[in-house]
Amino acid sequence: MRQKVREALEGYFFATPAFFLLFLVLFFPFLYVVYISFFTKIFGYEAVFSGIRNYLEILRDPLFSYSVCVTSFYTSISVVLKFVLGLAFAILLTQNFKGRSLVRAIAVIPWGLPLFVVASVFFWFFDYNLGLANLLTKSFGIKPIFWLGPDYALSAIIFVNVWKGIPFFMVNFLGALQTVPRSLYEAAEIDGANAWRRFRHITIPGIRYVILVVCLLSTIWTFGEFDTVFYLTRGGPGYVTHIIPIYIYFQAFSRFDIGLAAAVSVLTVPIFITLISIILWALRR
Amino acid sequence: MKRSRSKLVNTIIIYILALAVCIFTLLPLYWMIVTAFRPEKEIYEGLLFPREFSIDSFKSIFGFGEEHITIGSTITPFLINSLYISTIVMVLATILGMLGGYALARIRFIGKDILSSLSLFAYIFPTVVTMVPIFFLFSSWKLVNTQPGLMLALLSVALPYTLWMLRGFFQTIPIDIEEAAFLDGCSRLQTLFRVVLPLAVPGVVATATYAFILAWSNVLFPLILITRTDSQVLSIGILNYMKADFVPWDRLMAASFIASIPPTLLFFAVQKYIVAGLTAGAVKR
Repeated sequence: MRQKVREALEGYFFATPAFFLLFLVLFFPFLYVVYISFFTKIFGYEAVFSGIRNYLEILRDPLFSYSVCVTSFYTSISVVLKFVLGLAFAILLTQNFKGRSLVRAIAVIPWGLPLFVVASVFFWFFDYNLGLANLLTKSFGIKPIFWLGPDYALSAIIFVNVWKGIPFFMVNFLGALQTVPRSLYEAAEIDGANAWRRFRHITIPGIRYVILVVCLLSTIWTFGEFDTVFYLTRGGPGYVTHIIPIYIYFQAFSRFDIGLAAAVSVLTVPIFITLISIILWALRR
Repeated sequence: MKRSRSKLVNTIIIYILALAVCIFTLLPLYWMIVTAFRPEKEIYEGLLFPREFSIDSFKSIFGFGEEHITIGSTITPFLINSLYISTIVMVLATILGMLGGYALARIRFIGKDILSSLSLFAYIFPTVVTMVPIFFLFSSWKLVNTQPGLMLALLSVALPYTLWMLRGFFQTIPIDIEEAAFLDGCSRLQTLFRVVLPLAVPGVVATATYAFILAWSNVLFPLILITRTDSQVLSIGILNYMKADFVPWDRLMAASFIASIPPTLLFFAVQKYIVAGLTAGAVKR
């Protein structure tokens, strides 16, 4: 008994510094955002309790519903593309060919790059007059394109997100593919299953939990990502790339409506919690 | 004969796809490097391939150039701040994460499972949810525009990561070794530092490195917490270049190149350990 108490005390002694700090900079702000969302709070003025007024105001704001649509569209397309390309890259890298490790090393580069570097590079890459994207289209005889203009900005943002995000999918899939037993493939081949059937009935089921976890993680991070859009388009032109994180940012830091921005943050929480709970389940299973 | 023919076709297809992967990944980076190492005048000629080599843009961003000396035009202070802040955040996150992660992995105490889940939740949660309350609370705690304030905010990103990863690494170390150390009369702290840590060195180094990258790559917290140029970091220094009416492309790319070097080198050094970490639970089966 005394042994157990002693051990527990040691546990708290070791864990307290980290969790005290996390409480200060994460859990407390997290509770505080819920609290402040029930107040009308303009930065520099006294907070006034206003019940659910912020929430009602958000739900009436057409820009908010528009942002939700843009965010959902951008997130789902990005994650699907990252999944497909990440899996394709991974399968390519399970083949035997000379220079494979070099190709693998090149393909993971974007993972380590900071998003702000990626964004600034693509800002230049997509420049209308002198960016490489338009120099290439010109050399193929196509008219230059306003990549960051109203028609293509969202596609450009998705492209950048996919370019940066593929390695995370690829590397995780690559690790998972190696755990699928070779013997299953051999048996299937003897039974006359073609490549597609082997892929469909052995590869995919063999890595399904990794697929689930990776896709959900990426969904959360893509949904909450702020940097690329802020650097490339600041939510514009007009509102075509006005995603939720940008909406929160501008409510808080250009309209200084802290209460309203807090309420939007709170509204995103259930989505994140649901997705994270599924991840926890898949990791613990 | 037929078989070797189809094998050849296969090999050719694989090489074409591998080449496509490399071009896809390298094209934007090629454009960054070419632009950074070009004389400024050449940029406006719209050439795909460089003609002259020049490091004028690097001289200019470090303040050695003859022209364009205006406020915020040299990145030297931003670079120093980024290095300093990321290093401190890395050290703190690693030490606290080591103690906390060890407790979560090995010591039995009530609430341990909840704390483990909390650290994973905290790691996955996007910072957009806490950005509003952190800004608000930090301004009332007088932490806005201070480097300690920025470090604290960055710890909310780095610490959950180190906690969760180190917990995982410590769990992989055989428990018998620790029990032997206990029998020899070592205390917990002694066991951790003399027995467990030496075995976990690769994991600890990799985790610390990625914590550095997380701090280095962050945009949101310096953006909302720091307005003074002299305490600002590199990510915002680059944003300032991008906001100019006439973007100095050569200098923007030179600064991006500098900003990408530390994280890229560090990532390549330790990626083997990082990659397995998060989805390990899903990969195992």
